[in-house]
Amino acid sequence: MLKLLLCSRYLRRRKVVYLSVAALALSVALLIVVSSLFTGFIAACEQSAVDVLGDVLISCPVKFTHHERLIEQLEASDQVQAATAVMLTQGLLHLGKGNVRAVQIFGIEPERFQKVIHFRESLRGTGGLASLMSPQDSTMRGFVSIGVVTEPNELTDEYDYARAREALGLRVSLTTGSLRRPDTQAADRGPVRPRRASFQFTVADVIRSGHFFFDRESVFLPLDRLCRKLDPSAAGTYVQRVQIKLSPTAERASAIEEIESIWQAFGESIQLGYNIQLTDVITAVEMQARYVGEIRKQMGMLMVIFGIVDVGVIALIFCIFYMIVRLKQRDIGIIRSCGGSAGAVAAIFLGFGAVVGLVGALLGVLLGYLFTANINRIEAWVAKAFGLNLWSSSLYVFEKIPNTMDWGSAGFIGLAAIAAASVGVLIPALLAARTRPVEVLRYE
Amino acid sequence: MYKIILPLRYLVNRRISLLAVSAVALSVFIASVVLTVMHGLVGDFKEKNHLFVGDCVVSTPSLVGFAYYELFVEQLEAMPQVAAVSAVVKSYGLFTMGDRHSGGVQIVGIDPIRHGRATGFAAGIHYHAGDLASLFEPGYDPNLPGCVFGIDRIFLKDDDGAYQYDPCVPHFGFDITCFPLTAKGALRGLGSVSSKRFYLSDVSWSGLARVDDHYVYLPRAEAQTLCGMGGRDKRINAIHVKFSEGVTPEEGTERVRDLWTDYRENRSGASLAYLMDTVTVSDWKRYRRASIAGMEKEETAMIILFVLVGITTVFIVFVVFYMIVTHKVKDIGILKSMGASSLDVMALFGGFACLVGLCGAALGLLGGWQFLRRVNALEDWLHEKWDFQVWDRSMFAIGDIPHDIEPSVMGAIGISAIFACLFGALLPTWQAARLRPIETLQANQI
Amino acid sequence: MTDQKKIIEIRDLHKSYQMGSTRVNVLEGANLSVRRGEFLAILGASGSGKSTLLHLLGGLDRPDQGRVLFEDQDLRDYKRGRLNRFRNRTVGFVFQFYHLIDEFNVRENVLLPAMVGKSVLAWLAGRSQPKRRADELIEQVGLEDRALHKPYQLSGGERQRVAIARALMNRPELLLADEPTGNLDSATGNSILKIFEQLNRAGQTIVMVTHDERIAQMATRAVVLVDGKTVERRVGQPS
Repeated sequence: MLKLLLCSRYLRRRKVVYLSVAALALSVALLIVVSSLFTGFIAACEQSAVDVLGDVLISCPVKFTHHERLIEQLEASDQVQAATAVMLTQGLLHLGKGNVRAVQIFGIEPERFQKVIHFRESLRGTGGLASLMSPQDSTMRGFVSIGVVTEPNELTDEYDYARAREALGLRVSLTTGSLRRPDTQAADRGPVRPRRASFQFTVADVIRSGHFFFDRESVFLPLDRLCRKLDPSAAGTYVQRVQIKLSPTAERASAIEEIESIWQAFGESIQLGYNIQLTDVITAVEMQARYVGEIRKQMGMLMVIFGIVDVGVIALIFCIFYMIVRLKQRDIGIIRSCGGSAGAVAAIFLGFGAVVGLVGALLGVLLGYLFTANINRIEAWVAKAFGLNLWSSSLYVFEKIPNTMDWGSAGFIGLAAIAAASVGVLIPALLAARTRPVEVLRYE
Repeated sequence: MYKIILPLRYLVNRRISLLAVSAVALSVFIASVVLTVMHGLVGDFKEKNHLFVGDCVVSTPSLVGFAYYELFVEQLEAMPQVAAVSAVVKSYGLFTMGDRHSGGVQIVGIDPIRHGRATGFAAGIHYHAGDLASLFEPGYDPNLPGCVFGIDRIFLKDDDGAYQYDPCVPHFGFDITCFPLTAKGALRGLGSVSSKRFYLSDVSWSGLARVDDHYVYLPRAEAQTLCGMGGRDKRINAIHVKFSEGVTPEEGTERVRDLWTDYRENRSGASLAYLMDTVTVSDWKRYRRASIAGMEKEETAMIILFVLVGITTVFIVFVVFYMIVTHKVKDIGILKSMGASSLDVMALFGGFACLVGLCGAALGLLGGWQFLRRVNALEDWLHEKWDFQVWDRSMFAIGDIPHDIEPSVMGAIGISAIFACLFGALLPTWQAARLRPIETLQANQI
Repeated sequence: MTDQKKIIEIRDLHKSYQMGSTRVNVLEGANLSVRRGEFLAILGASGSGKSTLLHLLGGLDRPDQGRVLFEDQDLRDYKRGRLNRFRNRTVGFVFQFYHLIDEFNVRENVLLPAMVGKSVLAWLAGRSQPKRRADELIEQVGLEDRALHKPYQLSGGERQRVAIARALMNRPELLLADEPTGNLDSATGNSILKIFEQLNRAGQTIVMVTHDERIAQMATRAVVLVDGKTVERRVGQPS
């Protein structure tokens, strides 16, 4: 009871204790903000890859046919929720007077595609993809990503939706690079000839994924019609990529293994030869691994730097408690002279320190949360007040700063702060415990 | 005099002062290292951009380009402020190499000798270094039409960021395709594309990732034909200008702008004069601002981050001074009982704060300077022992970690440290000055 | 030897302090005058306001009511700067707990009033004279061997001697001592009192707060604080 009483009296009376709590809170908040922002950015990178690519990709170095069979086999697995085949090629898009863009062309199966891929929004809503399915209509329709038709505002990073709407229904011209026949070992393989295809399509919809580089240069066309345009003599469609969405209950490692074996069997059946081994079966997250690794490294370095500065805060706590112990030596002498043990004395200060750590850590977590949760508002205010646009999607890929609090690392940092505060108090507590009453109670 | 002696004694005798000095030194050390590196990276990046475009660019954002440039180029070259001029075609195209490799490219049509004089292009060429006249003649067959690709399309980098060049230029052929546009920006007929096969004659390095990965240089006449900008009224998209020594980009750009305004007025009646309406004259910073702004944002963000670190340091200084003043109330009482004024007391502790800031800043800057001198050797050692690099050189277009001390940056950090200390000590100092001697000299005061 | 001329006078002085929720009236109409060359002892029970009276005399505090007149001028009319100069040059304080600067040695502590009164440039231009004065004072109090020692290296009596030397540095017209022997043993206290005696014989005006009868006997005059008022006491008369 005495310990508790002395603890609360000391806490309430010494202003400098509040200051040490504030210093600790500040440093904890800083670490939490850095950790949350980086972790949020990494998560956003990985999630955006999943959103635009699916969970797993089969990426073959050559184009292949009979992909419907592969899709069927994949979807038969419990681990796979949906799969879709995609053909990729590069192209030049002519949008109007002097407006030419280099684009990435995706030949897609609209129905399957919308089961695997998630776009943040489209101007025509979810009905947009249906507009691609017009086999009877001679007019080819496709959609483009928003960055193809309009640039984001330099200061606000917002797209001009009015201008994007003007592109709906626009007739545009597309030309692609050369295209060879599928590289199979089939006997009817004809001579290899480079081809070039130019055609027009109508912009049926404008989509936005939230990923700057994807939104800047993507065009989506129906797979069957695209293949016919690119190679009218070819029978059927051909693709070089299959994008897969796993079921919610799928176990990633075993799912990859299963997909690899399905692919192996399929590749052998269509005689892909050594291209089977050259094919990547990879998760979208793994595709980002190298880039994400660099970001993690930068985060690690910043955390170390700020951690070093925070050692200063711990030293401060040490000094504060050392001062308090020195000032309260008479009290300690009195407690000891009344029979209080050295352990009890030490416990007062250790408890004191733990409370400082706890309160500082909790405040720091709260501060860190408030800052992280409101960082986009703060950034908007800075842009408005100082004309300083700190975040832009062209540099950082995403339109908004990822602002999800990383509670895991916040908890770890909080606990570390409590432990560090206790360590800071340890030596003063030991000094206090070792105080001999007769030395401090002598009248001088 | 006591205002000088006493702070010095406090600094030496009060161990807690060391905490404040250490906190300041640590913050200054970290800030000086990180900001020097960032400043170096930004400076390096800006310089690469500067070399890439020259001092000034007369350009249009439209792919259609503008006509009647030949006489303007002559007039520019006649200006004493101008050292070199290069007229350039720019457009988007596709390249394919066999059936495996294809991609979008930025086509740039140049006169290599002129372009080498007007920009830093010449320094980035590998196989034809010193011989730009034959830049577009592949070493394996000079009769073939040559092209120069950005180096990242052709060669890979090792772990140290060094390109793995072939001893001779690889024998690669590329089909380059482009939309030829009329002067009104329309396609020359539906399905009309221009395509031609070129052969790799050299590679170009600029140090700019987007350029080295996306650019292909062609002879200007070929580019004009490919893009539909040939014919009677040839068109280009940009004119790069390098100024003579002693002429700043700002001054020179102003002159070029005046010249262009006159030139445009004189051509106002020509049939393609409307194409000149979209032409602007910019110095290199303005022309490349979208690219440079990114790096400057990074630097600003880093400075803001370290301001937060600085706030923590100020707080530490504040608490330390609070403790020192609390402990020294007796001294304040003694001084005031002897006639020292409140201002004297503020000067005393203010001087102490300056001293702490000065010592901390000096230590931090010294440490930072020594660390920066050895930073690349340290990174090499870390890379050798633990395969750790601050930036993966195979991913990032960074060479050595910048370590040149910028006196202005160091000075700014040092002065900020001193001000931070003054600010941190302000409240405790002011409170100390307000103390009445009678409050502090009571017998049982603690 | 006293000069009949008054050096400092208090008239109808009132002073109170807030102690938590209670207002404590310490002085309630105290009157006192001090003549040049006098050795005045102020006596009274603990908490009677002796130290408060001394602080008011020295301009360290301001009364709630009444006047403190130095050479017929009210200290309340002094502006801040003049009051500082008054404390620096006219008055010398000796406290019960010495109150030396821990970071300064003996010599520097004695020099302190001279340093306070001068700017850095003025000090650098004319520091030799104060240094001579300090050395004289240190010798006078018998600490010439300890001039470079820090306060923690000195005994209680030695520290009090330093405090006395410091108080005399600027040749104050008035020396105020607040229970200077209160913290010392009797032998040491006696040696300190001898110094005060010598100073008074040389013409120094001294006002000393004490509860020690020996000092009351030693003084040329004694007053007692009773119920916040001063009462004259004949020397030799018990308090």
